Formats: sequence, structure tokens, C-alpha cells
Amino acid sequence: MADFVGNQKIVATDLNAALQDVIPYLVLTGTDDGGGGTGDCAIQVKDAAGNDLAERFLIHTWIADAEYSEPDAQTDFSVATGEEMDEVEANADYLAIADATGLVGMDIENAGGGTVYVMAQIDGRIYSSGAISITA
Amino acid sequence: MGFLKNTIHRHEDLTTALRQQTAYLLLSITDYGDLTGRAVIVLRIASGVGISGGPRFLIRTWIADADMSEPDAQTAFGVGSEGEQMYEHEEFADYTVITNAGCAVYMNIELDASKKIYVMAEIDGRIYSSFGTITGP
Repeated sequence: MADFVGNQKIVATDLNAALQDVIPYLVLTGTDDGGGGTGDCAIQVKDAAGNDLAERFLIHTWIADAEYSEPDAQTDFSVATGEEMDEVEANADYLAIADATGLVGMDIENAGGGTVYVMAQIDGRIYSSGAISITA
Repeated sequence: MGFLKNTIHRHEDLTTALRQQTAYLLLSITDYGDLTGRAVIVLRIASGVGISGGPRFLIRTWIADADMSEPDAQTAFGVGSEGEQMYEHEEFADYTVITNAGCAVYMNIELDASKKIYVMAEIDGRIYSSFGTITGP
């Protein structure tokens, strides 16, 4: 069939290109400061090709003591990059406006040290930073 | 996908079909010259046409003194003649609203002095904004 010849064949790269900017996802990167009970988590919006999606997004983000759990307030959890839109629960649960590069940065403080998890939601999907070990 | 025929498609066909399912928002602000105005928020699909007779949409919208900023309460900001309030997050500042059958929402604006204001609206995570200067007599 001619449909399978040349440019009329749909391959995975064609599908990715069509979807690229339409379906964003989030990448969370947690960092420990190595002492003082502080750390941070960067939440970057990506396109389907894995590029930073430089648009403004409203992101729901929270911190917890267990992965994919409800929010658990810490000594501090606050918006450092981007802007706080709504505080759902102090030091625990926020709506944040991404900056022009699609980035939200969250400061973390857990005075006694320990493992925390940051979650973020967009389009209904929840993404996790995985374990962030904060050193006291 | 139900909106594509079960046949071989070109890349262009697939892109068109997918993007037609993507909604975005258009915002415009009108000044009435008496410290009041109105923001109109309309949902469009990517082909640029409106949606009528279909589903309603839930949109978060807020007003601020700076673009892409957190809400700043004004003298008044609320749903006008089109659409319906779902939640009030902050009085005169921040709402979740239900569109009308034509996928539009009208937000009434009232200020205490002439100034430039910004109205933001979010759908599917993406934030859209518009600005306008509301003037007085």
C-alpha cells in the first residue's frame, strides 16, 4: 500500500512532535544543602521531547514524610523561584506560578533532619521528587 | 483515538487532529471609564474556533497589580452576567468559575482608583493573562 511509503508513514518521532508542547510533564529535583536542615526542590515543566517548556504554569506542590502521601508541614516549605499563588497549608501545600522558564523552586527546611518527599501535580498527574534526605 | 478514522494518517493529519483537542484561553479587558470594567475570558480550541453546546469548563481566574503575580484584591472582582462562580478563594481577587454554554466567563471589575490591572486565567495548568487600564471620570 502506498500509505506505508515515505512521508505518509507515522513513526514515533512524528507522534512526539505532534504531542510535544501539548502534554507537559514535571521533573522534580531535590537537593540537600549538606547541613543546617535545609535543602530545596526544583520543579521544571518539560515538553514531551524533554525540553524545558518555557511557559507559565500553575502547579500544585506539597511536601510529605512519605511518598505520594498527604502534606506534612515542615519547619519551612516555601516558594523561592516563581511565585506563591495560594497557601493551602503553611509550610506544606501550595499553588505556585512557574517563572517564565516553567520553573518553580521550593525551599525546604527540616530542622531535625530526615527524609522528605516533594510532590507536584499538573493536568491531574502527580510527580514525586523521590526521597530527599535533609541533613540536620 | 475516536476522532481519527481507522486508516493511515500523515504527520500533518495527526498534528491537526491532536491540536484541535487542545483548549486555550483568550482574555480581553474593557474599561467603562467610571472605575469599572469587565474581563471576558473565552475558551477556544487550537483551531481558533469556539466550543458551543458541549461541555462546560472549570477555570481559575484572578486579578493582580502585576502580570503573572499572586492575586491582589480590588474594590470588586466577580462573575458577571456570563458564567457562574464555583469557589471564592479570595474575595474580590481569586475565583474558580464555570463557563457558560459558549465557554465564556465575564468578570466584573471595580477599582478604587485609575490604574493598570492584570487578569489571569488558568486551564490545563497553563496560565494566560491580559492587562487593561481602568480609568475614572
